[in-house]
Amino acid sequence: MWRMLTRMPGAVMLAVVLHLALVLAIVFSELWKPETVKPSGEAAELPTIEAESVSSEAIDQQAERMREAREARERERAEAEKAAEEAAAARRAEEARAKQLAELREQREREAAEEAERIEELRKQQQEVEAAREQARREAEQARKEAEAARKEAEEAAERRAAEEKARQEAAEQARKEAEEKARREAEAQARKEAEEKARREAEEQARKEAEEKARREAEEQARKEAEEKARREAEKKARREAEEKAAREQAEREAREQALRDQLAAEQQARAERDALSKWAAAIQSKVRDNWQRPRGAQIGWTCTVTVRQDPDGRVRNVTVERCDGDRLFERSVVQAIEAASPLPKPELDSIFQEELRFNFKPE
Amino acid sequence: MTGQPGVTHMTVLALFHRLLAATLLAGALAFVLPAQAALEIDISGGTESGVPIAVVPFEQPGAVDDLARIIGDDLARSGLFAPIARDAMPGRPASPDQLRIDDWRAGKARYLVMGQVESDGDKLRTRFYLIDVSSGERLTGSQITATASADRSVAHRISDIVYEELTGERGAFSTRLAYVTERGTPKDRTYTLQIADSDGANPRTVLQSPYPIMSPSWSPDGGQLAYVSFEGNRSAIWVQNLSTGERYQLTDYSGINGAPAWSPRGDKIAVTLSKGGNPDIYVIDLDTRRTTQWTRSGAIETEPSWYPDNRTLAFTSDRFGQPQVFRKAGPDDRARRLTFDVPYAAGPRVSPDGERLALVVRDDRGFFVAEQSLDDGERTLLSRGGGEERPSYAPNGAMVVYAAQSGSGSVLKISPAIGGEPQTLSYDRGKVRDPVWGPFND
Repeated sequence: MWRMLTRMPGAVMLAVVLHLALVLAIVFSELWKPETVKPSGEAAELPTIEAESVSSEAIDQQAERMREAREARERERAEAEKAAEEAAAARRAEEARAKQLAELREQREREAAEEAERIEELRKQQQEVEAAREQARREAEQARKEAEAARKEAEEAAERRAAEEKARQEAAEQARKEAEEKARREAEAQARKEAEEKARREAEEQARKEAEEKARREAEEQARKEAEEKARREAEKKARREAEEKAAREQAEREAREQALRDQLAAEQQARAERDALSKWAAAIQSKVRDNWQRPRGAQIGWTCTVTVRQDPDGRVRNVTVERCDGDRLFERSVVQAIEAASPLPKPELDSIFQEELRFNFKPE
Repeated sequence: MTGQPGVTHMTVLALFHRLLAATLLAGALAFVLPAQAALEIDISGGTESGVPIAVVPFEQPGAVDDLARIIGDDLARSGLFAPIARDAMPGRPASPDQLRIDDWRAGKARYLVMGQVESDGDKLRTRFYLIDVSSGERLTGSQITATASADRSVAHRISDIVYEELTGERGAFSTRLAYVTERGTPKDRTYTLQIADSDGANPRTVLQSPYPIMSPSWSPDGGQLAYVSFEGNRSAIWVQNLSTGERYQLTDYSGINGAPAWSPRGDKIAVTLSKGGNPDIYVIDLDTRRTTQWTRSGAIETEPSWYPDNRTLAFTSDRFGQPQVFRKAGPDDRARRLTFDVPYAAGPRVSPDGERLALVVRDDRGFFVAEQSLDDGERTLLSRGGGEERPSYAPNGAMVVYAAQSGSGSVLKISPAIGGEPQTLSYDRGKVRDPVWGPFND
């Protein structure tokens, strides 16, 4: 509206001037309305003379305002009749004033004449006003039309601008949308590609897994089969072996029983042989050591020397340890020397009875 | 050879298991080897003999006495050792680096002594070694330096060291003997009192007399001799200092003055005196010259010999008719008879350890030197000939010297106290009597 005002200040000013003129006219018509004795509706018709607003709206508003003024005058007239009655009542009280009134009436008559003249004048004026008003109306119409055109133009401009704006916006929107669309499509394409890739990979993975699974299952199956086969074969083998073993065991037990009997005999023979061999061995050692014992003089009965002798498998004396000797030093020395001189000691007939360690008790008698 | 002991051990174990099994199967066996106990073998008897020892001739200058010979004779005299002949020796090593022990192991010798002597002016430096032939171990050895004239003493010293190493007892080769000789015709007799080395060598005359000399006795320190001399045709007991030759008359009683015996501590001399009309034992205190009568039985009591306790005497008494040996622990002790079972027992000498008695016994074959245990009275003969008398112990108690008749004369013989062949000391003229062994030279 402000834009419109600023755009068409002439029209606005004209409208304002017209409105003011109208208002003034109304006011003056009211103020200058002659006071009739008859408060009939002559006066009431006066307000119908109204300046038409250059705008229908203003005219409507004016018409309304005139209607309201009429109604107000109606109310005033009613009140005036009431007041006239009151005045009639009052006139009696105011006889004195009657003359004055008469005078006043005269004056009023003069004034009425004058008024009539003035009214005529006024009428003329009004006609002029009417013409002016028509002029104004036409001008107003023109103005209105121009205003309308301007408005329309403005509106069109606005619309155009709006349209442009809209178009721009739409273009932007479109661009945005297109960009978005493009991005979306690209994203979608990417997503699709990825999805496809993923799907492909998954498919491959799946395929691989399945292949593996299959291979595994097959391998397992194969292994199971082989294991079963092996177990079966082993079970057969075991059964066969056990059977053989059982037979062998029984055979062995039989043989063992027989062998045990033979062993017993052999062991008894062996033990006998070893006993004999041991006795012979001991006797041979005893003989050789005694032959090599040069017992010193002065050894006394009761003296004893006990020595432990370690020999190697060839009978060579490796070590002589005196465990106990209650002879004198020369006697003890002679004992050790007898062993050493008898080295190597005789070997047993049977290797099995050989002993590394021997013990000797030397006694003078 | 390596590894065989282990195999052997297994074999022994296997044997044991087999024997054990056999035992279980057979039910009973008289003989089973214990698992760990060694086979036990008794050795008795054997050959009692001197220990064969090789005393290899020393590497020494020709002017020096044959030390190896002296040592070998010393060791042989003890009766404990039997030195092997030189021609039986497989070598002549003088020091360990020259010793090929295996050669010696094949021979008889169980020990070997070798050494070297070097002359150094008037001195001799002698080095010697004692080897155990069976083990190859060097038992002892040392170096001895002495004057050239003391070469025999060096040999005796080596003998003592070897003897002590092998027997654990002190050797008595570096000691002296005293004895009496008698030479000449009955009309022109010469008596001498002699001192010689323990092997009879180096005799020195300490007294020469036309009158009989008898019964020498060593002071315990070896510095003096008491003896009986009949000079002036009457008996007297003399004490002579050996280094100075000075002497004094200890007793000069009428009648018999005989058989002096120096006490072990050297403070007293026991003698036989007949001043009471009958030969009795008296003890003279050398400080106070107080004479104490120990016997008064009316019989002949003589030949006193001290026990090592310095207060007990063994002596000969014929109080029971025939001479027998008695002992008395002090003048007032009751005389106890020590000898039985023999008709004649005289001339007792108590051993240095106080456990034995050397004496002369007579049986139907003659007079013999015997040794009797003072513990159980068991008696063994030390001499062989039948005409022996006057035994005397070496200070270590291992040998006994005595006089023995030899043809028309007599000689000195030494018998090992443990028995064995006696050795005769060389003496080629006249008679040798009354030997007495001196103390250790320390």
